[in-house]
Amino acid sequence: MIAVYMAAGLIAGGLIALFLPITIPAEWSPYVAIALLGALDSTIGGVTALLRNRFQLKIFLSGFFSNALLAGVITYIGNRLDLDLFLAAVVVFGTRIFQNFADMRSFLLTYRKKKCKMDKKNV
Amino acid sequence: MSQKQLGNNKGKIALIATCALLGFLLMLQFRSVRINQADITSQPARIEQLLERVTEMETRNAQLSDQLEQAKSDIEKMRNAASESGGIVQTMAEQLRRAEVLSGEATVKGPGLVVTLSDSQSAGSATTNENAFVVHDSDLLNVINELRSAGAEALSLNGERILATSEIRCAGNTVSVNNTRYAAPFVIRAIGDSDAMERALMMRSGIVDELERFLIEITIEKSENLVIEGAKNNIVFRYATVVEDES
Repeated sequence: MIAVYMAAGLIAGGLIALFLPITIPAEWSPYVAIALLGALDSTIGGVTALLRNRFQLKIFLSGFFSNALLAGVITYIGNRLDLDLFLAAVVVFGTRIFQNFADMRSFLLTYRKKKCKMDKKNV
Repeated sequence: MSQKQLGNNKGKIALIATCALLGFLLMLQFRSVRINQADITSQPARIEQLLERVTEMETRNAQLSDQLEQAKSDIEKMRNAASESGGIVQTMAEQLRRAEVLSGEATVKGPGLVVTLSDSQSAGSATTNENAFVVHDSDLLNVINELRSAGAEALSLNGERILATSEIRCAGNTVSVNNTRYAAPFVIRAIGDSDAMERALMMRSGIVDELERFLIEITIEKSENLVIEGAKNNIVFRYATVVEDES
């Protein structure tokens, strides 16, 4: 159910952006892109945590914003140093997205089994 | 359990909200990137447009040059007609001729030097700056300055008459003279005392010595019958006007 709402939120946000007459200036583009990657990572992490029942609102929200911010700062410093530091953020976020996705997948695929076990225990 | 459930509900709302934000940013970024790239790809079109205008201007320039040629020959005819009527007119025609030689508008001939400068054939070793082995605008200026100091009366660079308004200026890997660009080799023609001019150039640690240090190929030929073309383009004075003598 939550997945449907999330997809609806994603589409709603996309539609708003599609019809708003604002664009990101070219020099800001890399920062927004890297912040986007951070936000994507946090969201997928949040979903995984929710599935595993480990979700904590504070941790999720602070992670969402601070990861995006840190990624932007790293990109900026990298630009200043003429070093592609944003690659660090890309690698970390990319790895974690795949990791969390794998977690989510394995959880969903073994969900039924676990539930059975838990039911047995409870009984 | 209800506490946890509540936390999870809040969490779900937060997740949906972040999803909305994510979608918003994603679409914004997609659009921006597309627009920015469209800006970049529109540049070649602009370059093409500018190129077209350059060609147009060049054609127009050629047409105007033809007109100028026509006008010059008209003047020549009139002058011939005038000098035939003699007297004051003849003196005036002589004065005009002198002024034309001085200003570089007339084609002149006489003894002089042909100095050719070409870029060094050896590129030097890997560690040397190859920039030092090509002929620069300053080298040409030095040569011309030396020739003038030795009494050159008329000068041309690659057929371009050196006038009072001529520039010799670096323009990329070419040199701009009278707003026309020339590449090496550079041929400087000078009418004047050829011995004196040659001595001035060959002076110890003079300009030839210095250029030969950079292996720039410089040849000096004496000629008894050198022809130096007049200026190709008329100089139009847009700012300077003559001050009338008040006395």
